[in-house]
Amino acid sequence: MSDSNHTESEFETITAEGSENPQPVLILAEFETADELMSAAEKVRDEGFKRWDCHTPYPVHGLDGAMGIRPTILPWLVLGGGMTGFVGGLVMQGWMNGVDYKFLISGKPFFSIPASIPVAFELTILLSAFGAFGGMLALNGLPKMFNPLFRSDRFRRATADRFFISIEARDRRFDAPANARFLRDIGANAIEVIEE
Amino acid sequence: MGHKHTIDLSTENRSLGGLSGQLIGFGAVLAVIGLVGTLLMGNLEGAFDHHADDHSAAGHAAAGHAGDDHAGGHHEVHGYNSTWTIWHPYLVAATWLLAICLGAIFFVLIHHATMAAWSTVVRRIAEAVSRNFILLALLFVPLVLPSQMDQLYKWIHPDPGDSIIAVKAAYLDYDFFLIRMAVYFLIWIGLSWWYHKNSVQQDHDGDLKRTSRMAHFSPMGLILFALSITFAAYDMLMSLDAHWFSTIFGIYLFGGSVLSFHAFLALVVIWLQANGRLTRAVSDEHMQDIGKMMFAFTVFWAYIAFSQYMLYWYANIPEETAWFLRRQENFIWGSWGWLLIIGRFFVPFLFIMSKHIKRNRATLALAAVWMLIMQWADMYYLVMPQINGGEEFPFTLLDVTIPVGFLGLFLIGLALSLRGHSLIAEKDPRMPESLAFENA
Repeated sequence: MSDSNHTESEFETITAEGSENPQPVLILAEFETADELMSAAEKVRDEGFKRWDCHTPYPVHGLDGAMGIRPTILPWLVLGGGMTGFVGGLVMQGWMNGVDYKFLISGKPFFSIPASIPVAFELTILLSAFGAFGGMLALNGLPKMFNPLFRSDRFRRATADRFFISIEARDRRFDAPANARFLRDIGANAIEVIEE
Repeated sequence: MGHKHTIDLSTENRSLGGLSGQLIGFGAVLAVIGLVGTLLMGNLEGAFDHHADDHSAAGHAAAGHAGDDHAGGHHEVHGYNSTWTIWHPYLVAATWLLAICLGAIFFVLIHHATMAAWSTVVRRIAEAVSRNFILLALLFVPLVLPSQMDQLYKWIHPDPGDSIIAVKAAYLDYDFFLIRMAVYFLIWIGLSWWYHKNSVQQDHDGDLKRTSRMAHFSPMGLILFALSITFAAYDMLMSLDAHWFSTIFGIYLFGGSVLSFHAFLALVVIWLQANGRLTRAVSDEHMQDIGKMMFAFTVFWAYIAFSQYMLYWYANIPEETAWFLRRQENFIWGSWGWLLIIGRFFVPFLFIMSKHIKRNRATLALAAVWMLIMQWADMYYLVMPQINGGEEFPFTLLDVTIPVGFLGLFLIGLALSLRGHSLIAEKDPRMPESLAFENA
């Protein structure tokens, strides 16, 4: 499905089959250990790259800091979901029970806060969970059926025993040969450029 | 940021050292302030004037009045009152500190039952706090003497023809009550003594069998804990209004207990670190987790409090709503209820939600102090509206001086339990994992 050839022994190039005018989409660097990845990530961060990512077989503590990832806005989405659920739940019950379809049940007020709390509470939880789950997917650009990274056989070891940094071609500092030299300097033991 | 290496415990200041004198001194000052203030204010309030003899009579007279005042019908469910005595604020203060101790022993037990690692660095502090059950047992002794029982728990001498109490007479029996109280404190003191002893001895012998023994016994310990806190809540607090009943009452006390303990734990750790102890062993990550527990149990308390309220509100059966009626139908206790809803749930819920608040020592300490005050306010809400049908606001300065004095004793007890050994479970097998703990 893909063919590869060596260029200046600096990096391998993997090109998508049947591609008319192949352009590089990303550069992939492999590291042996989490510590090497961590120090490399700090250097990539300091070099000013923006569109890049790390791929590890397990969560590496401190990698967020090494990559310079800014705090996520996800908590605010969850808070927004929760508040919407709470207020929406109260308003919905107020409208239904207190205005639109008044029905006297065991002498209780048509609308009252205590009776409305369970539904408002459950909606708070539900919309918070939706906010967390949907927000996480959206912020991560998921679901994504295919990633050019999958063209690399080497990359499969990202789920087992290797650590990777990938830099996308959309990064304005992207320049395959220069980036390859840089990644080699900061400890990568193998480098691939993926073209599509 | 970046590389994080395991902390070398040997370079950490992890003994109380000179701080024990400081803590004992501070506790002694609080205890003296509390004692002197209580004596002064008690004299002003006339708390020491009357004796048990005229009390039951006065209580019953007031009970009759309160019943008559309410617009007819529910005489029999309104008549369960006592008159103010110094033992009411005393009971509030004692249960306030008891809650912290109960939370502490729960923390130790659940730590072992789940084989938790994050909490290993602060477990020794929990063990030391739970040893204050001995102090609490001493504080409860005067409460269960017949003359005090008479003034607090009116089921001792029920009105003749009180059929509700007659049904419960087998349980609400003074001798049986004393036996139960003894059993509770035996369980609590026994558990705290055994876990503290094993943990400290592991510091010396490093015996891993101790860890598995402690884990092995913890589920049984949790069952004993659950039964004892439930029935203790019934006996100490719910039986103040022996007509009323709520099966969730023990869990209500439990929610507040675990919340209060984590708040207290946060304050102890922050105080230790401000004095150069455990500065690196307990990191922002651990503080964030303690904060998470404070947050979680804020929600848990509100959930339980509302569950109890809503079922009674919905069923609207007089014998069940009487307890809430007394706390809702007049301005004072109605406002106090709102204080708990807003001050014990909404304010801390929103304040401590952010992780930045939990990781910042100053904001976490602020939340912790607030939560401990709210625990006192909660105990106040359980005890005080029983006085004269909740129709007067019984607040006196004794409500300040007695808790302050008890807190002083509590801190002295904590200093005595924390000194003489490490502040950290030195050779716990999960210590390295705990030291390296990070929130994912």
